[in-house]
Amino acid sequence: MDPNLANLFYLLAAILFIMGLKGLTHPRTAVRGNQLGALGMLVAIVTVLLATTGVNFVWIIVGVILGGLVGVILAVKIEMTAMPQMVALFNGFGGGASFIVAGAALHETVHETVQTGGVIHNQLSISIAVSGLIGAVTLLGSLVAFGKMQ
Amino acid sequence: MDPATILVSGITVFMLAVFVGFEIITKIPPTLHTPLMSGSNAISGITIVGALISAGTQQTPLTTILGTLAVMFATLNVVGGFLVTHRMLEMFKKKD
Repeated sequence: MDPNLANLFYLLAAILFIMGLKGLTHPRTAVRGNQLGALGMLVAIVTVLLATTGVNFVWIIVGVILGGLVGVILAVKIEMTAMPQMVALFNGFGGGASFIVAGAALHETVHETVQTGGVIHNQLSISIAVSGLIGAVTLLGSLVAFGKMQ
Repeated sequence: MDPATILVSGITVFMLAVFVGFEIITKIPPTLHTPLMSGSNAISGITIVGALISAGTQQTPLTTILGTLAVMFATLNVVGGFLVTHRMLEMFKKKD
């Protein structure tokens, strides 16, 4: 996919997220808001899969199936009274994912730089550091919150 | 593009997003606090985009392993987050 076209689809996803959050702030539009958010996520995921060249889908499919399965089981099986700690746990998993992505990006960047002998740009080092920090805080903080509520 | 230009445009998007987020979630009824928290948590699963790139591009075996793990966690966050939010909102509907 053309990078400019991909960016337009990412913009569409961001707009859907904003409209979704806006919908969630009113009782009558809340369900629709949640659906708009989910639609935005679908747009973003399909776009990244089409936009990235040379993608190996095997590991992606493995990850999506395992994560999706556990997510559905947890979300459907959980008691209504246990919802807050469930949200905390899901949030922790998201933070964990950010943390791991930062680690993978760091490894990738260092690997590339060692091979080509180039320099690591500030953009990358700052975003990796911030993403790693926020991810780690989210993961550990959410796990502590889960433990306190459980 | 010049790296400094990319950094500045990134900071620009970040700051605008801060204000949009703040403006949207002000003046929300207390009953919707938990669903909004859960819904925005699901949206924060957008980190799945980075995870998909790491898992798919296969730079080194380590990035593939880390990427797959991240895809798993992020999918759990996204799928679970939207489903849980939907269940909460369904509960509100029955009450009315």
